[in-house]
Amino acid sequence: MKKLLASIALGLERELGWTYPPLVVLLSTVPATASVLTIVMVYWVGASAAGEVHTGWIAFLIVGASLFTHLSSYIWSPLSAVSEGKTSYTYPLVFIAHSSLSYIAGRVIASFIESSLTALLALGTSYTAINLILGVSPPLSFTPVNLALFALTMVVGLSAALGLGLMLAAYAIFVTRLEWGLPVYISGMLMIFSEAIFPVSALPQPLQIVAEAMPFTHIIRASRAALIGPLDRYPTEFFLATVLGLAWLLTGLFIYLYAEELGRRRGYIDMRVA
Amino acid sequence: MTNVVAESLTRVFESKSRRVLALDNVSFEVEEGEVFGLLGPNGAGKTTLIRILTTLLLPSSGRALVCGHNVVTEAKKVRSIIGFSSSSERVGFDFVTARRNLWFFSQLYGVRREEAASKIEELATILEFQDQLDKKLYMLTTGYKQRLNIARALINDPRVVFFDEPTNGMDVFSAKKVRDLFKREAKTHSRTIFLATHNMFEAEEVCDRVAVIDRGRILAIDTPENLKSMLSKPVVLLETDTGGASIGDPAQLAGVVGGTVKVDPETGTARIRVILESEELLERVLNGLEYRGISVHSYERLEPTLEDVFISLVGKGFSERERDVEA
Repeated sequence: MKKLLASIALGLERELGWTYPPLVVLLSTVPATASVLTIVMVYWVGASAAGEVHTGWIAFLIVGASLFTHLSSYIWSPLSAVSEGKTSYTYPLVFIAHSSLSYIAGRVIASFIESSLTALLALGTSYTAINLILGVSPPLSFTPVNLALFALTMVVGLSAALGLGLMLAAYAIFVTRLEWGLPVYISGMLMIFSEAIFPVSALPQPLQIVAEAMPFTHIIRASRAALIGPLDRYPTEFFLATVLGLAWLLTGLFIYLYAEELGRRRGYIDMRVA
Repeated sequence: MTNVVAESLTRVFESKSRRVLALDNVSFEVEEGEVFGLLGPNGAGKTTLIRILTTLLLPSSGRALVCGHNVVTEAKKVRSIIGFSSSSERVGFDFVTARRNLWFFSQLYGVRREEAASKIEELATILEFQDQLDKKLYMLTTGYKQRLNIARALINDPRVVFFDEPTNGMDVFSAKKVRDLFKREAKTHSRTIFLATHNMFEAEEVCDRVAVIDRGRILAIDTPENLKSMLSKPVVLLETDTGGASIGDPAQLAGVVGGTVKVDPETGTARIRVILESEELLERVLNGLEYRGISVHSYERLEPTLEDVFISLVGKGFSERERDVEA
């Protein structure tokens, strides 16, 4: 636990410490809000032209796009913790201290905390901006109960985040060049499969199975059920998000530990990254 | 008590195009409280050996124990009792202060908070960077980063500490302080200091025993004094004028075991340090050089250094060997 807490503290310092922390939050919130507003505006223009604007769809997009920016931002941290850590030699040192798992988990949690804050700000800002600019009020409920259920979903999402984080960290052990493109590809995949901006039912049948097996799909659905409704969908989606999140966590753990052993055998743990 | 044991350690790196034997049947033992040096040119296998002993890399064959724990099967136990400082200039988290960097690693080793805080102050005082503790890492000079790196290796009070070229890039005075620290840590805390270096002066000054390594093989292990005294052959420094002629490999000269050449391209002079088969063969060497068009201004007999020991074993100096490895 001591190792994990130290890693979370260091992760937060690393995430927020490169300039003034409030500025970091602002700089992270602006693009997240902008992407939510862009998606809503695209819908608004198209739907207005067709004469069929539904505020329910706007609420759907606000929640999905806000959470999508949350998911896509924290997948950077495990890759950075390992591949950048190999360049700065921090990852081999953490490995020698027998703390690589706690370290990666701590860095993912720190990034998760930071991006959750950003996602919440983006959600609130987008909602307000749409109210002001478009003059519509998307049917989002911000009662204490709704917000509590939403927060609970985000917490449950942490296990899926850790699972994905460990898988990416496993990949990063074998990376010999800084591959900053990878998180972009993965977030692109998440956009398609996680029901962030369109329903899974719009996908071809085989891809729907993939989407349903992803915890992120259910995290986003549970969040929508919490904030938009209907609330009776929440327990099922929450349950699926929890179970699939744990399954991803265990898979990530297995893959990472195997990668670490293989990396040690092949000499990749402390291989410099160009 | 024996703290480090290597038995027939071998490591082979294989890729599709080539096979490199980085360590070849290496065996040795290092005692508690001993400063043990691993001396060899770049590419000799020093870092590979340290990577295995610090559990970063698995050996291809052989066995290694640290304080009785096998580095392959008991890696967790080994990790809890070792410290390691690499030669890298950039070690740590850039946007985090030196103090927080040290604190973070102390927590990974489970050091109690109060103990960690006082240990950080103590190490910063010894290594003279107290005034740098609250600066972010990227603001520190290379020398201070190196000191921080050494402090980090000692933060968990390890029984065995591995240092890989620890004084690289340090000024003379800082390097001296670090060497004194190594001696003190070994004597007063009974730590085993395992030092990989290609700095002969450093090995001679600080190490109780030195292992000379080349191309993955340990060529000799003994105290610096014994290694030098084993070299019964004379070491001679020749001051020459090359006149543009190429000296080539001194080992090709009749009567020479091996040697090094330092040419000053501006003046065309060269200092040739050679180990002779015997004193009587000096005349023959001088004639050989004259024959090549190289005139010898003066010569003097020198006390042997550890590099001379290396030359007598390999036939070449460190820099010549490094060029071989690069080729």
